[in-house]
Amino acid sequence: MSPTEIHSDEELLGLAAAGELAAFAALYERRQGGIYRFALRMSGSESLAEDVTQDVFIALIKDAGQFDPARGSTVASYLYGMARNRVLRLLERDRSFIPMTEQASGDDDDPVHDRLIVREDPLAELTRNELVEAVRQSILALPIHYREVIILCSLQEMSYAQAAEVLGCAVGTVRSRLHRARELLVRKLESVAEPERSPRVSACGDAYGM
Amino acid sequence: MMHMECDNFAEIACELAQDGLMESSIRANALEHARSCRKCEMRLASERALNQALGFAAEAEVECAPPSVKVALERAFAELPASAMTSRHADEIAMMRAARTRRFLQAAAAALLILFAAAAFYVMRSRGTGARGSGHGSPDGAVSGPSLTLELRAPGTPESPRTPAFPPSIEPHVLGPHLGRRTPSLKLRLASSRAGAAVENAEQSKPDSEAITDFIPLTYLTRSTAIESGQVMRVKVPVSTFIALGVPINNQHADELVNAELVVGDDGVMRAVRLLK
Repeated sequence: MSPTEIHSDEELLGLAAAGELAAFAALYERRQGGIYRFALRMSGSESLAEDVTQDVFIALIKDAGQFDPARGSTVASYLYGMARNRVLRLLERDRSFIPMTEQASGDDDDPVHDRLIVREDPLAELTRNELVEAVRQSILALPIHYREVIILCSLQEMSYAQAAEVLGCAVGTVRSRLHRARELLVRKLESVAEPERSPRVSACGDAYGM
Repeated sequence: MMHMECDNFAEIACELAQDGLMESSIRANALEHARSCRKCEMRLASERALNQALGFAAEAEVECAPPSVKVALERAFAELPASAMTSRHADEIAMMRAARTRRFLQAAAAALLILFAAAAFYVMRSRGTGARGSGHGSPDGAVSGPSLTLELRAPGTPESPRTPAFPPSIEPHVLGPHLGRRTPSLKLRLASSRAGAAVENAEQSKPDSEAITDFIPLTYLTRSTAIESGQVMRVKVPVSTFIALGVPINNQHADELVNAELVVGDDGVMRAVRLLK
């Protein structure tokens, strides 16, 4: 029976802090995928995600004592929190992506939107792989505070409470950000699905009042 | 069934598309509203399409960090064993070890002090025995080596001065003009409470021409009250004080005041007294 099966994250971290390589390896195997994908979806860069994953676990080796389970946090949220801080710092440094700003939806009251042709399902024309890629690109185009919440709640399938713990904000904040992120994501997806219609607000956008 | 507005529908569209938990009546109202409102129907469809797209994306989340990361981390882990021991648990272990070491050092220091004190005690006692022996052999019973040693012995009780307790009857009003005159650096030592007391004096306090008796040790003294230094004070005391100490004086003069010298330790406790002319 491997350490992964018999120990919690906290126990593995304690054993790793005591110098057990197997415990550290087990904890890494358990958590590296989520950390790597979070960094990858946040940045769109495999090399950055690789660096972030390595940095996070190096920091865990060096500063395992800083994790305090008494504060109610979990090892997973601790790792995601570290990953988030590093991703934000690197994105701030690189600024290699141009997010879709919220101001793009500022023409909510434009009466021309009411005359737009409504399509039933603009995403239906995309194949599954294309759809997945379109979702990833659309998420990448979201503002960071919407991007991170939709990655955690929709792709990593965290609960609102877990996401709030990682982001260090209230559950209500997560809920409202997620709501807004979905609105923006629908608009972006439709522009991806119908590039020829991208200047116009699509049916979904109209449905959201955008 | 209550009528639902588009604004109310927008609030629950996401949960409705995800088949989230909500009251059945609200769900029924929302679905009824979507059937009657083209705009809200489209919104529900887009929410469902988004859920499906996000579901596909979540299912496709299979990427992992490359193996090189794990190799690098394992190497770093092996190279940083000391850093790895910085956990709270390791800190506690280190604190316990430090406390244990500190307790051991304290115990060792205490043992050394005890040994040193015992050695010093035996050395002092052996010196005292030697001094007492030489004092007994001297004609005047007073000198031991270069420093002056006074043998304090109650008259009539040369070996075991079981004299009555010294009454602390020295009143301030009976102190004479020599009150407070202190002889500096008088060093004295009580040699033995049973065989009499020896006072070691660095200086000669007074010429013995004035002294009628030797210093008489006060019987409440014990080894614990042995002193290393003190002062000699000249006072006037009632004759009855000396009578009580066993000095042969006529009882008719018991109420008179006579000159005397007191040996007072640095702690303020009187050690000996002698009668002066």
